[in-house]
Amino acid sequence: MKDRRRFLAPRDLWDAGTIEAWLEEKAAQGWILEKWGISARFERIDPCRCRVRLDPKDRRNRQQQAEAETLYRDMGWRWNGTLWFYDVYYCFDPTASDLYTDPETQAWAWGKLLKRALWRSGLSGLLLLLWAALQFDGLWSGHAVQLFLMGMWAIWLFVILYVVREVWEAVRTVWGIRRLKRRLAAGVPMERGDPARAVRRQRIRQIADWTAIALLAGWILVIACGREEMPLSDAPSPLPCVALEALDPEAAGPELDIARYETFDGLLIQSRRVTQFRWQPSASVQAELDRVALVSFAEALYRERVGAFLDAWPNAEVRELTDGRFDQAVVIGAGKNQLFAARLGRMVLTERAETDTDLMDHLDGFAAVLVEFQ
Amino acid sequence: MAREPLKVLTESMFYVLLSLLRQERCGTEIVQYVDDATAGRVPLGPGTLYTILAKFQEEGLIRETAVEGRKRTYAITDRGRALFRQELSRLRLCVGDGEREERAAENLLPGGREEDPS
Repeated sequence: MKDRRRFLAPRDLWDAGTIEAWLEEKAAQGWILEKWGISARFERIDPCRCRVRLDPKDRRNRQQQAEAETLYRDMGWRWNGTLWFYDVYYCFDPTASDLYTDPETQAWAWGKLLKRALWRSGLSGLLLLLWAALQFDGLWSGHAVQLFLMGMWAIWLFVILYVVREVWEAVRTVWGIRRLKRRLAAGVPMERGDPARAVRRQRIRQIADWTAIALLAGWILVIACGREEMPLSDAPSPLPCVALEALDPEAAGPELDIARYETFDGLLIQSRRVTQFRWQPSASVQAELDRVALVSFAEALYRERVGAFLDAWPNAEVRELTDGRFDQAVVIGAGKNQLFAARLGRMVLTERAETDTDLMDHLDGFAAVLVEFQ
Repeated sequence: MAREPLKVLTESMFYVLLSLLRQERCGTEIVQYVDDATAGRVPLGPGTLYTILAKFQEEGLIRETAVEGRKRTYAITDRGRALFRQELSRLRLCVGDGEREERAAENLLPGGREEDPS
């Protein structure tokens, strides 16, 4: 027979009355609290009726604490560890006075607890906001739409839900302690809820938490598995771009330093990327062909790609195209650095090239790519 | 509605001050004194006692006079005495009001009219 066991415990820590009732139930079943951590660990005892009280911790020095514990023990109350901001006391003597015999005085102890809870909530809230802001730094990267479509939407949604939940929990805790303090100050004794219901609530919360974590982990796995990278020579034909060989056969002649093909298949976007690059003489093509879930996403992605190029080359020449083969199209040039961007329905093709050839001369090629992959 | 702290003392607070009026006492002695003085009518739990002692010290109503091992002795201050007297006067007024009303109620006839003194 096991001498130690873990139980799922109520976690509404402001609801001290219900936790006390639950700990008393456990003692009646033969279990006394040993440690309160992620789960509550209990030690076997002879089943007995006892009283359990949670006493808001006071800022006593070691000597004062020792003295208080001696008096508590003399009066029948045994210190049994800590739980959040409480000291846990057990009393096995039915004739002993209760730990608190005056609700108004008890309200002072809860007033101190309220201040601590407010401090802790404020500090946790700040750290939480900082953490949340770091999760959203991608929004200012210039590739927010792309990140969103490639799966960050799920991470951001998780972060928002997590922050909302934590804030809600903090507000409930502070509100619960404040309410209890006011009731005690008015002379109303602490009320006790149904421990079984509190444990059920905690079980549901735990299932929801683990489900969210599993979904998030699964999602990260899906994103990771959706990526593939290979040498361009292994890429399926035809390529989703007008390759360097077609744009500038002379520049493409010698062997390239980088020739890579990448794919990404996600829920909202399917992406194909070709990179061809050479240092000397410098020449490169970076092409991306994306099929997204909605036309509005395609419009946003198109705008983002054009905007990113213009941020890098603010003085570039912009030539908007009116061509029936594209819904939107533009050629932007800044010397050798050029960008062709086009949208056709839910497809976006962008090709950034460093070449002396004018991309305007290859509109037929770009249109053919869009038709081929439509 | 919560009362203003220490404007009106609860029984526990009153008896803790009372226990220190004549002599200094430690926590256990205070509990024992209150139990004897009230014949067990006013129970003083350890949580209540320590919270009261901490609050009274914070408010300058009592002070620590000695620490011997785990025993800490407290004495009432002038401020504490003043508060005790103020509370005692309030209680006297309460008792006076209560007794006066009770006498008046006893003098009333069953119909609610006042009894004719003649």
